[in-house]
Amino acid sequence: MASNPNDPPRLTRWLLSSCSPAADRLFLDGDFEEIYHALVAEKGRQAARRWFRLQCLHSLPQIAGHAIAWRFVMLKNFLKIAIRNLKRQWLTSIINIVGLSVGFAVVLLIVLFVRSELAYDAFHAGASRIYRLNTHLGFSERNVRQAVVAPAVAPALRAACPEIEAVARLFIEMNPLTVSAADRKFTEKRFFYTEPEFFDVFSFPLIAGDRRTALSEPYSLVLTQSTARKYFPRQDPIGKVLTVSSGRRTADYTIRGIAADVPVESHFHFDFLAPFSDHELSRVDNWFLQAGRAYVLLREGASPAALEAKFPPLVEAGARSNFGSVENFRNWKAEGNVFEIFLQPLMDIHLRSEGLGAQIEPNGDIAEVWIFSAIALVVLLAAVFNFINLTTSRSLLRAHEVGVRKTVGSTRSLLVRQFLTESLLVSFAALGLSFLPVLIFIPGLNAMIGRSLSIAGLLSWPILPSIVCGVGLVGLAAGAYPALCLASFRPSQVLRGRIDPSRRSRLRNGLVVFQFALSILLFVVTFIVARQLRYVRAKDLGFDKDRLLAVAASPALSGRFEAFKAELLKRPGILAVARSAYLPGRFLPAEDYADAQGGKDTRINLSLMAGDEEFMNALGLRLATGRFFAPGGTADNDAFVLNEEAARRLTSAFGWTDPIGKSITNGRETQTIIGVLKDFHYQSLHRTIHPLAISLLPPKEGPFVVVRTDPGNREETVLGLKQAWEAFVPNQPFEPFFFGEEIEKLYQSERRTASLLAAFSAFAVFLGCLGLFGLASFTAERRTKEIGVRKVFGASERELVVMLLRQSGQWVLAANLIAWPVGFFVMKRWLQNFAYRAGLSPWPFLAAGVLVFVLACLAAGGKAIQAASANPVNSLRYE
Amino acid sequence: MKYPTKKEELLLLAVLRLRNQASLVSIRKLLSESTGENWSVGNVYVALDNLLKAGYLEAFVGEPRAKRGGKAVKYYRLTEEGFKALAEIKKVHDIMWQAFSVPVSEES
Repeated sequence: MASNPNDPPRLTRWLLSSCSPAADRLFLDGDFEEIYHALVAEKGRQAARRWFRLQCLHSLPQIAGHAIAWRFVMLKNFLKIAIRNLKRQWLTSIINIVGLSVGFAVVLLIVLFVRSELAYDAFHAGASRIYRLNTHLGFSERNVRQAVVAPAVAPALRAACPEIEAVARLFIEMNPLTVSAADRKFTEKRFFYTEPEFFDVFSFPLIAGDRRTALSEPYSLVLTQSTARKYFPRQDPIGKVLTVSSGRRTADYTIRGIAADVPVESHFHFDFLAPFSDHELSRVDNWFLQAGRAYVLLREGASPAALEAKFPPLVEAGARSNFGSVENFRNWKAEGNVFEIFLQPLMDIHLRSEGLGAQIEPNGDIAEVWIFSAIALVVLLAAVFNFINLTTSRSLLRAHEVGVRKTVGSTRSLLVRQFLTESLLVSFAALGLSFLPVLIFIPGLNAMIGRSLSIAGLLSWPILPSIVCGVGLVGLAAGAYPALCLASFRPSQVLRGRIDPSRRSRLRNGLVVFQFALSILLFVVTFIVARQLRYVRAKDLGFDKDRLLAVAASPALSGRFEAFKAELLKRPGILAVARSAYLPGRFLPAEDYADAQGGKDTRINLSLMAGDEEFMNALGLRLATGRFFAPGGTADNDAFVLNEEAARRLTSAFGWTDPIGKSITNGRETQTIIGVLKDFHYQSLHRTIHPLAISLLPPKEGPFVVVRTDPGNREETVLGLKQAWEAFVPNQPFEPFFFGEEIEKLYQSERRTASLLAAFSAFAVFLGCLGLFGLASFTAERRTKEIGVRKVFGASERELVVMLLRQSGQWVLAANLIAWPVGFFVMKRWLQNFAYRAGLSPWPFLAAGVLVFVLACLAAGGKAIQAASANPVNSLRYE
Repeated sequence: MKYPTKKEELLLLAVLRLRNQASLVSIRKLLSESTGENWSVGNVYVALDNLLKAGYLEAFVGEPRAKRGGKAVKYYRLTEEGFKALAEIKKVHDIMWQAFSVPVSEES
């Protein structure tokens, strides 16, 4: 539009009209224009234009202020009517608010959990530049990627690659250390050897001491705050001395720094930091040593891919000491063997370490984050669907209100705004209420998943505004459907009572069926997981896990084991004592063995276990053929006892008829097979039984003492054991391992999944029933008259209840048809995690279906019975 | 609504006086001329809209006119409530003004 010189200034005009209330916008614009033209005629164009522009000061503030003030008056009005409506339909309102708040609570808890998972290791200043060095080692049957790298690797890489700014090696002793101050002594597992540069790579804050020099002197020590308090309550620990003994060596360390406790959201947690250079392993030049870890900090802007590309020649140079020459190493690799060093971003460690062995601590799983996010979404949807369902069905009762309002001149947009105000009000009330269950459930959730989530996480910067926006969106979305369909009722039809309630019912039914399908699915999953866990617990492992316990052998016991054993056997309830290198769930070494006599080149990988001659009796293992190690002496030093799986594999591979008396070799040593044990599950039931060879522990050696107890009085037995221990090993605390508990730990993640699932299924079915209850009471109300008429004509109460419940029954049946196949496929996949599993039986499916059906009937039944038993005289008079 | 302010009183009287021609523009002109002060458009509009929402005035829409850029005029007229309010004001005024008389000049 070309600017007409006679028109008022356009910018001012636009400003004025955009600030005017919508209803008067055109009139005001016309008024201004009229006055402007009059002024042009009277005083000329210049004066008129000046006057018009000045209206920005003279008129605009008043008009705009007035417009805004009226908005508020309208909003107050909307709210007043909304609260009045909510009070009138109090049952629906309560169901809506409680349902939504339960949904929100679940979502908030999951948000807390997911946020904590995603925040792992993010607190380091250079988190995006820190990488962990991992090793990929593959030869013969074994192919492992491990979060482990030999101590010699990191310094060599650093010397050769300028893009590495700093390196921190970590080394954690496998066996616990004993740390003692003047007056107290503890066994410590989180004693980390590292380098002075540790604090350049990681930004763990120091409370006392200097970051640069805390670890630079030999035998200096950094403690976390709570560890310092443990050893030196009410004293300044700086400069104090702690004696650290690892069995082989003992050293005095001087404390030079106190670090803040390591946050939960770190993928490793140390209690002590000591210089690695004091440890003999730090100087071993063997790139194949599978011990120690290393982290590198890259320079700003350096590319990890470019750095990784520099590794292969360095690895070849490093492997030379093992292979003699680079040529030999290349040939070895050409045979299909693998030895590689690769980088993993620090932020990926917690969630994306799938397939990486030898982690410092168990990690999270990105799949879990996805699954829980999906559950949050689904529960939220269920809650919102309930809300939509109830509001829409209730809306039929409000059709008259809408009709009347429309007739007296309410516009459609006013009506929509009124309904949206109501649904937003409900949403925010629900949000407020949902903090209550969150507060109640946080401690339980923390106990379940071993975290320390706190509600403060929800009130932090990006989370709280997102929650408020999200709840606003939920309110708008949930309110939009009923608002739009209510506002579009035509008053003429509504007021004549002609509105077809079945028109919207297909969507409504779909939503209800979806909710029940979800509940049934969650129950099916929960039942099957619980069934598998029961199976795992009840499965005969081939040894008596519940009668076994072990203690870690101490250097104080060496040479006195026989006396200790004799002392133990004197005590009540102790049946057998053996030395062992095995504890359930601990790492077992494995090696490849070939036939010592045969020319065949076949090799079989055997897991290696060691025990003394009492080992079989103590564990309660059963012999299949041959014999176990002979007591007393070293006659069987070169003997192997196999499990049946190993015997089977070896006989078929080497073409033997009987394995007893045959010899096998790993290239260095040759062992003769003297016996075969029946298979037992020495590993978790996730894996099939691997071929196993047991060798005789040399006298005096063995990391664990295994004790077989009488199942009778366990407490007394343990007490006896403790007394004997204290008599023999006075300076080391008594810390028994119970085999049953150690085995339970193997299924920790499954148990966690099971309890979380149980909780969420309870939530989902609660929401479903809440929704059904609302719908049922609505249906009963709507059909009051019909029920009255049926009753007058002789229908019995029972028939009426059945009639009212029939619909709920149909919904649950339809939901089963959806949930069963989904549950079947999902659980089939899940069960494949276990080599030994309870079969998929129909019972969990039927049980879930029946349970949900019964709950649905209970939810709908009360109202149905009430409606059916009402006196028809009253119900027929209800209009 | 509470007792009308002087401004509202003037506006109601202006609407009454202008009969069927009481638009924002004409009301503003009348007020500016009779009081000798400049009444801004925003001032008059807000006061009129408040009276409208209080129910003292009602609005009706006139014909579009060329000098307004083809836009219609919004006319105001008194409602019964508005009349009652003016009557009340007049009653109060009459009572309150009784004590007042213009002093007779000595010379005249």
